[in-house]
Amino acid sequence: MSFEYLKFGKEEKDFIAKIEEISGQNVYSCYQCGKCSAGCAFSNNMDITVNQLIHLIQVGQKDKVLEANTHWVCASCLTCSVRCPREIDVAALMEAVREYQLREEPEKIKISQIPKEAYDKLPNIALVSNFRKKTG
Amino acid sequence: MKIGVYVCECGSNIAATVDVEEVVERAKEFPNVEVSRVYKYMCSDPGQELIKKDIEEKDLDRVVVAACSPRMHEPTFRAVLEDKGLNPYVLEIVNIREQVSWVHENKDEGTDKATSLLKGAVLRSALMEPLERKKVGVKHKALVIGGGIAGIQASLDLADMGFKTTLVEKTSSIGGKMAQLDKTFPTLDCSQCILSPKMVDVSRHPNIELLSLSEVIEVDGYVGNFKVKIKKNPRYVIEEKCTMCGDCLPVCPVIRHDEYNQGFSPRKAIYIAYPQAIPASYAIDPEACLGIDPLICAKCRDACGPEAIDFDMKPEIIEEEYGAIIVATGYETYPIENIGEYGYGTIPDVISGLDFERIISSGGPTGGKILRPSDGKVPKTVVFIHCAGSRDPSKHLPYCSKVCCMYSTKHALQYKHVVHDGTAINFYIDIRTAGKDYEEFYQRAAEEDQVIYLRGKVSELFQDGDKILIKGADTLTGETVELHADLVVLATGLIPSEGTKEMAKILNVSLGMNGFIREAHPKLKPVDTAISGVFVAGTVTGPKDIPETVSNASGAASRAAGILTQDELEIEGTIARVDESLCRGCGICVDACPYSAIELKAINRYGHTVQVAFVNEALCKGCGSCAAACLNSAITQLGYTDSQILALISALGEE
Amino acid sequence: MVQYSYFPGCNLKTNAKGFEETAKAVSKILEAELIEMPNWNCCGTVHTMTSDNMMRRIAPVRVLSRSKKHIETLPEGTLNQVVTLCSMCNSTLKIVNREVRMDPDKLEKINYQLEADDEIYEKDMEVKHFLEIIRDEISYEKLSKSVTNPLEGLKISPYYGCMLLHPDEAAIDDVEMPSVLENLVESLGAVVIDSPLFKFCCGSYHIVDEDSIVDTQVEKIVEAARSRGANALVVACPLCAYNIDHQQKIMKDKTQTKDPLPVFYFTQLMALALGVPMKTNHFEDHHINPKPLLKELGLSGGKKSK
Repeated sequence: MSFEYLKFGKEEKDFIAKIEEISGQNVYSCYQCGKCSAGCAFSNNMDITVNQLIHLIQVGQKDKVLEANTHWVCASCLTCSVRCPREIDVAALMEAVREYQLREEPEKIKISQIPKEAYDKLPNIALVSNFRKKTG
Repeated sequence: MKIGVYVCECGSNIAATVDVEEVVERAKEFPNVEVSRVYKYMCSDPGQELIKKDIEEKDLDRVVVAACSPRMHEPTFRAVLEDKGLNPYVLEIVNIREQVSWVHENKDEGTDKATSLLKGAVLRSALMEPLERKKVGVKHKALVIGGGIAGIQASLDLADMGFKTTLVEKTSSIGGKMAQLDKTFPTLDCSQCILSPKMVDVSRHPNIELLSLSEVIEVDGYVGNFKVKIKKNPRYVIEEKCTMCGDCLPVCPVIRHDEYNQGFSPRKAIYIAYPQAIPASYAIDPEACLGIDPLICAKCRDACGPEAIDFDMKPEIIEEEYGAIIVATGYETYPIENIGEYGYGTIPDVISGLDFERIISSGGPTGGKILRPSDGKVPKTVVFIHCAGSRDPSKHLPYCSKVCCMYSTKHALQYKHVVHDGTAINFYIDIRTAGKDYEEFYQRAAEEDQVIYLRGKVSELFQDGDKILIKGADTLTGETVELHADLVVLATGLIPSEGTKEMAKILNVSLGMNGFIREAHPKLKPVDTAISGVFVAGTVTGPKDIPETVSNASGAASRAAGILTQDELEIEGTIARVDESLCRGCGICVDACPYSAIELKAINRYGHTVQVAFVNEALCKGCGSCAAACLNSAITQLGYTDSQILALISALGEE
Repeated sequence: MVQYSYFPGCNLKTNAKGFEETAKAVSKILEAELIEMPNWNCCGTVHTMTSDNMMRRIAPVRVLSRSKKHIETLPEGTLNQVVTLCSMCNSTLKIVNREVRMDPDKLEKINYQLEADDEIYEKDMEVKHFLEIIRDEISYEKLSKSVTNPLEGLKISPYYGCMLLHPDEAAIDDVEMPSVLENLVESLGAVVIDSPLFKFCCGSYHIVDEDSIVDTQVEKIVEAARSRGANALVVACPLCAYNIDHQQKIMKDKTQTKDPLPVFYFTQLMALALGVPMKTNHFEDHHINPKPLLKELGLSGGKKSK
């Protein structure tokens, strides 16, 4: 078993670079104050908090990031981005992690499995925005 | 024209990468070179003697030394020239150590480069002119602007040294923010107790003239000779007669928020800031008073036994000259009204750090009992939020305000000392305890007083019934934290005061990005400014704690004394000179000068009034910006004229 | 009669008919008529937060460019602004508008796609939400004066949702202490009940596949308003309206919770106050029927004598 917790090899650097490219944010601006997690309306449903996810990105721990449900529970309400003291668009980082996964496996939500009755009842924008965030 | 060239080996420092013998030989071919020598250590006594002998025997009129940086030995070699009767400004130094030997490895290349630089220097040297060092007189009086602890310390130091000092303070009493503090960290000294003796010393010192309720409105002149106008606002109470009996208070009908107690308690239109105020006298607030001119109420005057009230006082303008000025205009705290997620200052039980100081102070609005502003009950859970407004480049202050971690820890500790069964929770991002005994203080708060530290910034808070709901996070356990607090204290940061902005304009000192005055050099000149003779002390340049402020003040006093002890100041000869006949008065040079050393004046030219630039030789530092900016080439930088520089460049351009 | 180019967005024609029809009716009464732009397409909400996906920005840019064409057919003096009712459309359009203005490369790529249909966007449109028009161009005074049935007895808690105030660049009011809905409600004669959860996200698109998340949010939002004395909520977004409205019904059926609060669109409140016929509101589309409350307070239908 390797005791090397932190590796900064090519794989880690590529992952961080890709997240930064998609989001347009500098992930190292984050000084882990936790204000995003504190204000997030959905923190209670996340297995790891928003700031913890960002820290895992900072240290290149790709697997732990992709296993978390944090970015899927995110509803893009942007409260985190508006309050971040370092002006990081935190929601964009969440979107970047979603996109990173969706660009490999585009169907987080299987559209075919939504029952017809739901289609009739649900508002259009719910469907449109859901598919925007959960499909590639 | 006879030029002496001297090349230094500097041991192996230069000789290792430059063939100095070769350089000396080549130099003999340069125009006007009378003698060309090499020596192992030119700066040593024998080396200097070598030059002196040549000046005398060979009748040299210019000297070129190729050695280390002029920053090292320019004064040394200038002294050599002066000793033999040559003007010190006809010395030219070529740096072949830092600029050649230390940065190249190839000896041939190094030798060629050294030769090239030396040739340039020789050609320039032929064009150099002797220059004069002017002298200006010095007024032996000091002006200190701002009566907080920094201004107080600086004034006392200067006065003890024997200099007459004027201390100008805008409000009715000196003491500044330190007078509003209850206890100071880490010793928990009572702030007022350690400050008052100094304030009394100021009032009694024969060398200090204290002008309270006064403002500096104009400063003209230059180092050693500042012409200052001070506006003294009327106190309407005769300081010497007021006995502070307080008989005027019950009869005054006007009530205002007491600024000293952060608005938590009332004061009258006639007031004293606090019992230990200096000057020890009441004052009347003309904006609160029902009417002074015409006189409306005057009940206070009727009640005053010693007849100390005088409504006929008028503002005075005092004009005085000073040799040096120290700016110590202090700070304000960042207003909580700016922070939206913490309520914009509308929630009564959410207060700032300075508010809490007044509440916990035994001389404050609650007599030292910790009570909630909303209902006067004792809070059982108090939340202290660090970095409220600081370290927030997105909407507030980008910098760290240095003292808030310590004062929040102090507040939490003080709260626990008073309310033993209360809970104090500090939400922090980092705990910064960089001063002496600060880390131990933090340890004490956590270990002995059970202050709870949660690492995470509070996202928002709002009124929930009669408590305040806090939505924070504990980043160390990865959880959100929601709790109800009875009282919330926001650790607000430090921002430049209004006085600082005004003084910067009047004195023409530059402000940094965050509005604090910019020091001449952030590391090596912390109490100087770019303007000669103007010094700074205390939080006017940035957030500081009290020990730093006091050191700063003594430092500024000593720098000011450096000017005041002299009868005359010598000004460097390498200054700018304007050829009036070429100047067309466009004023570009005035904008270009970073030292406010050049200005346009009206003169009469053949019957017409024209604007022409004049250099203030005492302020000019010879940077050359004006000479470069001048469109008409009317300005010459003495010692670095265009023809000299062009000669140097042409030599470098040759193969 | 000032006219505005109005972009409905998909929902306003389906679940939120009441929102649109009342808006159109009150806009006429207030002499600030909303004229629907022809040939609009879905704005593609929620805006993409990726820096590199241009495809997802084409739809909103096309809306802007088509609105500009529409304005050219409206009377002279009509401002270059497209007005929306739906908060999500407002946010998406504002953000994309700003992005293409700040980054000419992005606009070039997008215009390249729009060129073929002669629909390039020239960065000359502003995006406004109808609430901004009411506040800035109609004014609350005029609104107050036009009220014929003051909404006495209604204690309304404004719920902004996230998209009206986030991000900073798209916010129509102060991000932490807005007052646009409060002022509107007060102009109509009703009482405002402030709730601290006025922008606590309702759960948004999770309603499709993870509605348990929405349930938690809705419960908190409604309880915060109810416990402070509100008897109704007012919103500006069809998704918020659906989430809060529909989930309250689901929860009521399941768990016998306390009395649900009806949810009004702000234009429905305006319609009630300005004497617009009741059927324009389409209250039959609501899951929590507001009619019983209105009847109780004497606010259902017909002009009252003042």
